[in-house]
Amino acid sequence: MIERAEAFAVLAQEITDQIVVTGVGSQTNSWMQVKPRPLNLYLRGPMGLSAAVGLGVALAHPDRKVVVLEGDGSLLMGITALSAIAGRRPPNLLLVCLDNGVYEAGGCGRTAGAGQTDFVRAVQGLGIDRASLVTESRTLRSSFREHLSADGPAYLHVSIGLRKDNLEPPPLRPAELKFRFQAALSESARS
Amino acid sequence: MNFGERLATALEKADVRVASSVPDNWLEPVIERLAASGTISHAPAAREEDALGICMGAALAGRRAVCLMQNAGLLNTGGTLATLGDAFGIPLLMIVADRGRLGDVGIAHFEKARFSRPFLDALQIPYHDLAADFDRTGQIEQAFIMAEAGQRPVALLVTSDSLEEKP
Repeated sequence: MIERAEAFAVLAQEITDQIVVTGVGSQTNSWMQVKPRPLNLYLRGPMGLSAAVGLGVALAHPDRKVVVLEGDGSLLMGITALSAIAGRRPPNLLLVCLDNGVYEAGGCGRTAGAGQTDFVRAVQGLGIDRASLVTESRTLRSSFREHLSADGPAYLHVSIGLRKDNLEPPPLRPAELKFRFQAALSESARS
Repeated sequence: MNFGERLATALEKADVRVASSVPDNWLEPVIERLAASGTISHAPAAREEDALGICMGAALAGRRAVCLMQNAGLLNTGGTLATLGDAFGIPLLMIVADRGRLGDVGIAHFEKARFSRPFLDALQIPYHDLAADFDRTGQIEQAFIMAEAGQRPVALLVTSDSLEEKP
């Protein structure tokens, strides 16, 4: 098991010019702490849609790599989106699931199937073959690099510890986040 | 041209880049044609929320997107339309088969048409019936102009009258 802060620190070091989509709650709040930048699409709701939104971004910009940072509870809520990803097989999409076994932003209630659901087998069963589990910090960096550089769709499941940090959400309104993200996309396309 | 070919061609002319759909037998000819499009990336979805999420991702990334579903599935999408579509102000086109209206009343459809328009009213989603001559009147482009001006989703409802162009 990896401490959340350590996992996000590694991701922040490895992610450079990729588009990042973050799931509502812990993923958005944690990522904003370590790597605030306009090319982040911070979702503020609803739960369960990060993978679908990430697929839409990846289809809209097939020349850009898209990384989705999602939690286990939210992924379960929208796991049918993985069938859509498997059907389209976007080579530019990497989904990273940070699994602490609870709905942290919702009071830390246990997720359905916590400790029982084998996410990697489920994801592979839905048709995403390149799927791996990381449980130790010493292998997170190399596994992430491998999945990021490979042709997707790819899935990395990261087992993290439970520690409620009470991080703040982005201070901007969603519409402002949208326009800032779109401006950054246009700017990066020109450069 | 049949309905599917006409609608898919109109979507291509409107510079739609991403489509997602959940099947309905009125919409299936359109969906089949979109799957073969050279300019639109079409992603079949298992649930209507997923289809909307895919289209909203594409729209947030600056591309025109269209989402196709039946009205039964539309009723699943309240949270997505409220906390993503409305909160972020995402312009996209929803094409919804409004099953169960007069002339299309089957045992499986009756309740759907009772709730689809009140549902859209509750979520403040502008909607119009898809006209039979939608390709001659530029209705698809007009719907996108409305969505982009208002920065919110707009729905075109497919009824039995939409399917066949009258002579």
